[in-house]
Amino acid sequence: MSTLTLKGISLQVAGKTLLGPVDAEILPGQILSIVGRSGTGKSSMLAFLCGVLPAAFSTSGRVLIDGEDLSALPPERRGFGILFQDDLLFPHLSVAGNVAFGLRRAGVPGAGRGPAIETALASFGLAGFGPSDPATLSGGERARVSLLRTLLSEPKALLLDEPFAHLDDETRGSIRTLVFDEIRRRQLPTVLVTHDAEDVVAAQGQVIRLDGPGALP
Amino acid sequence: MKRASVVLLLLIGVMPVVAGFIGTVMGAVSVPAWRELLAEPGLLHASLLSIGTGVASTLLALAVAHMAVATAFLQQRAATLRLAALPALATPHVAIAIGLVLLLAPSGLLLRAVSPWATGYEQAPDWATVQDPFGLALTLGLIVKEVPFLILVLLGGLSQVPADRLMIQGRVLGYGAFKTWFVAVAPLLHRQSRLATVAVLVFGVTNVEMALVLGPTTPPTLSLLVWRWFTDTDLAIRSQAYAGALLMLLISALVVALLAGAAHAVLSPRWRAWATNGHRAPSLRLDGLASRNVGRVVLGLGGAATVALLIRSVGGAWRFPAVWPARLSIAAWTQGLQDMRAAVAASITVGLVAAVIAIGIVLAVAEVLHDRPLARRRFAMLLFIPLVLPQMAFLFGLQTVLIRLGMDGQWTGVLWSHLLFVLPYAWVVLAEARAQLPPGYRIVARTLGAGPLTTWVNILLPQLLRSILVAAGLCFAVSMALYLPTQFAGGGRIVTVTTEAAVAMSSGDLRSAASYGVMQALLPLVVFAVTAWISRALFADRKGMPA
Repeated sequence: MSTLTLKGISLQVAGKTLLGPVDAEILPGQILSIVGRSGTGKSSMLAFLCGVLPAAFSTSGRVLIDGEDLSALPPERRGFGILFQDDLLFPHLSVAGNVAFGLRRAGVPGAGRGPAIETALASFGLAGFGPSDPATLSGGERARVSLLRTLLSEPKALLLDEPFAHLDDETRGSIRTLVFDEIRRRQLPTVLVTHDAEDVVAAQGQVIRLDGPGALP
Repeated sequence: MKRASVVLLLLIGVMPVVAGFIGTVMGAVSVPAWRELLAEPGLLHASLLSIGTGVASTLLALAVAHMAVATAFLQQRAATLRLAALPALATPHVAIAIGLVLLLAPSGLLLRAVSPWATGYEQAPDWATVQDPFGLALTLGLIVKEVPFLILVLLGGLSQVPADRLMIQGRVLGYGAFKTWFVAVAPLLHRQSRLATVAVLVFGVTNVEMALVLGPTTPPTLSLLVWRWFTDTDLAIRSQAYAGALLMLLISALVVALLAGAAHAVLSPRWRAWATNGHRAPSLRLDGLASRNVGRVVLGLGGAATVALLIRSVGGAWRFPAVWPARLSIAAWTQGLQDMRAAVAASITVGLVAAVIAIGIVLAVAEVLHDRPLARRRFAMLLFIPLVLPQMAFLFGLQTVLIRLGMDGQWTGVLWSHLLFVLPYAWVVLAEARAQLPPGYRIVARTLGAGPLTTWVNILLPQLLRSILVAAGLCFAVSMALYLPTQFAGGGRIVTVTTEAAVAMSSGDLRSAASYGVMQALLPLVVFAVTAWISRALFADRKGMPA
């Protein structure tokens, strides 16, 4: 169980403040929603948190998980999991291959990986999908594989970048429930970026509204 | 580490061009040289020949390519057109030129096919159908070679514009398919093909290899004059050659500027008036049978030239007007293969190594610049310099650089000079392919715990493999076709099938020239076929892979 802390985070590009400063403390299982029109730097905020913001930005502020400052760490050692609006399953790997790529950090040794992946797939209603080509799956199935891949890397905190925006109306609700249930079950502090009001309601957490460059909550 | 790859690319791909250009300028700093150059009899004639053949071939090739792409798109055959243009793209200039001679010369296949029953000729007539004084054969040769290139460039642009929706929009407004195409889609493609058009124009005005085979001889084009001066054993004439190379640069710059100005001042207003006049005639003059098939005719001519090469290479004695050689002999080939061994080996090794090096460096730089479109564009401009500059304008000077480095006449020198022309093509294919991979893949892989290298090798590289194979085929074909760079850097000591084909042609040995021509066409096609096959076999069961 971890706590995610954002301290005075602000982003500047070309000398102009794009966003911030943002301060927040996100407790285990809680979801901080960041809402605002496109172009307000929501996605850049997530890129900053997981350490992949392009060099064109200048930044200030700190990110901490359980009091540990992550600012100097590369993305692979920060402990974040991220889900985008596109599922971004690696197209050259099978479903099982994608999930195995996520499982890598979890320290499950060689021979134990196959059964571990099969069990995990089954628990998400994806039994038997292992050898499949991701491109042949439905949108909902792909979203579940993507979530599973992220969870199996055992992140300490989760970042969601409009994760349900590209799903059709029928699957959106069920995937949202699945993701949010997993967040609460695993007690993951989460930052959600969205412009969908239903996401914010379902998240039941703090809300930060960005209304334009430099705007504050 | 990151900066190292960028510096390396600049050092290998850009620095020699700059140094070579400076070397040429230094060599041309001589008042007597310019005085002798300008006093050269026939200089004006030669310049006009160069300009005329270059401009005419470029404009016609552009028109044909646009018609071919428009027709193919409207008949939903763009993929077929791409496939039809590929072999001709892979066939080097010299091979096409030799094939056209075998086809069009008075003793060529075309006249044999209709003699004597239609023409009455029992002996080959004394016509100047190739090397004609007006450079018509040269113009045709350039058209046949550049049309497939321009077609592929335009088709490449087609994937970047919403052509289908633009077409629907125009049709719904009541316009015919052809008018909609030329109002709404063709201008967008043209904008993306401008640089390629400039490259084609400059090559047309300044090329040596096609003029050598197809062009007029007395006087020849300016490019051939300058080339003769440069290869003259009388060293006093050398600085005149340097001055001539600079004159060619000036002429090409002037031609590019004039044509761009004319397009802006004359063509654009007319096109705009036509586009907005509201006429919704169901068909256009452009819509006719002839214009719809002109692309097929030109591509067909390229194919026929290759077939002519093949027939001539296996034919021994061949009396006019027999359509077929009296005797087909593979014996000519078995002996020929012995003679060709060194040239074939040099062509293959230089081509493959150049492709591998170019792809490696470009991949590294593309990784550094993948999220910096502006830096990528600047880099592309630098890398494209060798393609839009007359080759002689920097190859003259580059040779002096290679001599200083002890690389002239060496395999490494030839390799380096080839890299200058191979790198821009590797860049075109790979830098964009890398930039178009969604950035999320890298972010997801990193947050899942993979380091930068693992991410690149396991996640990004596999998705680039198909582009890498395309680049490999293209690089090899480009290297295979290079004539002047091989001559300059090889100094006659390193020969390739392309330089040997030209030698055989100028010594009048048609059969040997045809054999080299076949080799020139065959080697890139084999590489294309192999890379296409690997590309299909790779990830055959993964539908979501980038094409």
